[in-house]
Order: sequence, then C-alpha cells, then structure tokens
Amino acid sequence: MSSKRYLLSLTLLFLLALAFAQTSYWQNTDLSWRAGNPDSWGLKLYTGALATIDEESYCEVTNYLDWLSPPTLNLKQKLSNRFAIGYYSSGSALDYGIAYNATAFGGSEPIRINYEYVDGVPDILYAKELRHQASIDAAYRYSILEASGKLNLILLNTKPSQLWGDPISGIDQYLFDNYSRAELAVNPLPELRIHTAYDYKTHPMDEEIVGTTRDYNYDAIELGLAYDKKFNLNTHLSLQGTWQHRDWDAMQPEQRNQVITELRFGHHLNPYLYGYCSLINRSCFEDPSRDIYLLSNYARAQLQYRFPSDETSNSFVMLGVKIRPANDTAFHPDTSAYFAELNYAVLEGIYLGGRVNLAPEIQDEYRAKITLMLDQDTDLHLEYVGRQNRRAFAADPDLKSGIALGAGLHF
Amino acid sequence: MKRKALFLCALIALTFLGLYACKQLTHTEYNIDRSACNGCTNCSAVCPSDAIYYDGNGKAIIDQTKCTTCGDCVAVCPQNAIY
Ligand code: SF4
Ligand code: SF4
Repeated sequence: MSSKRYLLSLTLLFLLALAFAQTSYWQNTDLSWRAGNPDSWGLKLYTGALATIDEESYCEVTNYLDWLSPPTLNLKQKLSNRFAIGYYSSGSALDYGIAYNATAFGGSEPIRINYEYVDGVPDILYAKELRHQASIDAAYRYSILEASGKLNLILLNTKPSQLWGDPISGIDQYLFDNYSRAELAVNPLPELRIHTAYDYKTHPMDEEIVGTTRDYNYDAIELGLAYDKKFNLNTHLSLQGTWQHRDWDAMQPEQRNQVITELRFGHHLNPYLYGYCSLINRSCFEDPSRDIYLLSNYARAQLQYRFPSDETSNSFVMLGVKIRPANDTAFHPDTSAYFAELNYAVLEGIYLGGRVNLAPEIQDEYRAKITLMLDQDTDLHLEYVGRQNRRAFAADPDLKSGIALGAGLHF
Repeated sequence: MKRKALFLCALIALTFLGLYACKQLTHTEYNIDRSACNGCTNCSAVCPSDAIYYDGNGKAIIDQTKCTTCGDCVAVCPQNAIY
C-alpha cells in the first residue's frame, strides 16, 4: 500500500470512529532533545478516541507517532507510526474483540529477523517497512464451562538486503507470523478455574532461498489451575500454576516442559495506601525424573500512597522493587531494579515530579518533571531525563540524556 | 485471618524456594509480566530480531522462537515489566 493510501485509510477510519456518540478524546505531544554525538531531536504524538457504543461495547482508535533523528544506536528505525482500531464487546455469555493495527516504519535499519548462521550462505537482513496485524479474541461461557480462542495474524512488509550488499530481489519481502490459541476451561467454583489450551504458531518462509534449516513454527499444549479471589473491596489474591509442553525447532530439550507458578497479592491498607506483590517462577525439564532447571523468575513489590490533600488524585508517592536474579550459566545479567516516583502539587495546578530507576547491571535513570495544569484536562510539562548505562555490551552504550517539552489534552 | 496470613507467607516462602532451588540452565528466556505492561511499544522499537508482538489488547508478548536473548528490551521498559 502506498503511503498516501495508508494515510487516507487511517483518516477515514479515524473519522468513522469520531462519528460515534459519547466519544472521549486525548492527545499527548512531546518534543524532545537528547544530548549525544550528534544530538538528536524527537517527537512523540499520541492521539486517541474512545467511543462507547452501548453498555456492552466500545470502539477505540489510537495513533502513535514516534520520530527521533538521528535515532539512538539501539533504535531500529527513525520513525514509526502505529495506528490501531478495535471493537470490543462483553456480554453475559459472549465476549469478543476485533482489532487491526498498522505500523509504518521510516528510516529502518536492516535487522537479522530469522537469523541463523549457515556456513556459505550470505546473511539476509530485513528493513521493516509496514506491518499489518489483525487480532480476533472470543470467549463463550455456558454454565461453568468456557471456550475461548485468539488469533493474531501479522504480515510484515520488508526490504531484504545482504549483509554487505545492496537490496536484493528474488526473496520474499513479506514475512508472515500466525499466532493462534484455543482454550477450554471449567469453573467449578467462582474463584477456581481449570483450563487446557493449545497454542500454535506458523511462520511460512522460503527455506531454500533464505538458506536456513529453521522453520520458526511453535506449538504447545497447556494445563492450568488458577485461584482468583477478592476477599473484600480491599484484598485481591490470585494464584496460578501452569504446565506447558512445548515444541519448536531450536529449543534445548530441557525447555520442552515448563512449569509456571504465579502469585499476585494486592491490598488497600487504607483508602490512600495500596500495596501489591507478584511472584513468577518458570522452571523446566525434559524428563521429570531427572534434573529440573530454573528458566527465569521474577518478584515484584510496589507500594503507592495518594496524598489526600489533592482531590484530583494526581499527587502520589510510589516505591517499588523488581527482583530478577542473574543466570551466569546463560550469561544473563541480574535485571533487578529499584524504583521510586513522586508527583506532588506544590501550588494549585503546579506539580513537581521525579522518578529514580536504578538497575545496577542494566542502567540508572533519573527523571525530574514540572507540570502545569491549565485546567482539569490540559497540561503543559517540561521533563529532564538522565541516564547512565551499566551494561558492558549494550546495543547503545549511551541511551542519551535529554529534555522534553510536552502537552496533554483530554476531553 | 491469622490462618490466611500464614497460608500466604507459606506460599511466598515456597515460591522463593522455587526461585533458588533449581539448577540453572545454559539458556534463559525473557518474558513480559502482562499485568505491568502498558503497551508503550518501546521494547519492540529496539528489538533487533523483531521478536516482540502485541495481542489484541495492546500487551507485548515475546516470541521465544525469534528472541536471541540480547536483553536490549529490558533497558527501555519504563514499567520494569520484562524479566
Ligand atoms: S531479548 Fe533481545 S531479541 Fe529478545 S525480545 Fe528482547 S530485544 Fe528482542
Ligand atoms: S517496553 Fe515494557 S511497558 Fe512498554 S510495551 Fe514493552 S513490555 Fe510493555
């Protein structure tokens, strides 16, 4: 699709959504400058509309433009514009959602999608041009039974090239990923859920031309048990255990069976103070009578206090920690992080904010922000972001510090 | 109430045991905590393997068949949702 037709279709779809009654809109704009060698200028534009159609259904349209020139080393494109439109409905027996999104890329760097080193076969790199995605989700409930399905179809239009060469012809410029899932569940008690599911992914590709032995297909069967209960308005506990039997061509045999345990607990200590913690553990094995391996794990705790003096609820302080230990045998660094955030109304309509995010083996980030609320729905803000890389082999050793001037509008 | 608190503490202790009791594999996987992801698209903008896609609700998912475990997405996630 040419860029003119792409823009025209987006505008038409956007106008169509605006025609609905009871529509709310938002618009956020940020113009930024980042220090570096050379310096870069950036623009982020986030526009959206939410149209409530009736009590059970709504339609959402969003457009997100992200431009940075020149891009930082880690960014894989100078410009991306993601347009999304979705229709969602939730009734007593049937829930469903249909969504489409298209992302146009500008100034894309050729990347190694589907990379596998094959001796004597030249590396093929792909520069992303336009991605289409269609998603369909549906769930049907009958008494204590529930059947659901998900489908995500992704078509990526690329410009293929050889590692040290010019763009090449003769190989398919379209990459197609097809993700689907079918699930059957039974709820013997309102808070208890037992499910079984089948995941299937296909990635058709021209193996002879790409010269790879890989097919990137994936399938998994899953059995799970979940307990989810709100004890009163203040406490929420969710526990989940899932066993997955997976198969894809490049996995290690030990990755075949995965056991995922999840725990989430949230509690309002009082109307202003809320805390929650989540724990996720992923273990795997080839044969349960032999070794069980740790694949990944994660623990997170957060505490948030809203200052009662600010009726708009925009004044708060938040403390959090994420723990993800290192796996030295897999050369995986410790990605734990310690973070804190504050936003406080110093005068009526003027907020001072700050955020510290310390990840000792990844990067430290410091933010300071002043926000001027022109009215309840409109704001102007100025933000400083400071970053310090802690990784030895980062794609961009200096993600760059900078300042951003922005405005937000919601009505 | 006391029993519930004890039950919860035991679960947390068991999960922590699970975190540290197993052998480490010579491979790891990066995953995304769905409940923490806000769909900002920062991670897919830096992924060198195009391994991140979004479900119908805009939550990011890592395709393990494509991920090369480079870790670049972790540094740009504002929610610390990638583990
Ligand atoms: S670890 Fe690297 S390859 Fe994997 S999803 Fe993150 S950025 Fe992509
Ligand atoms: S960067 Fe983090 S919050 Fe943003 S889409 Fe990716 S996982 Fe979600």
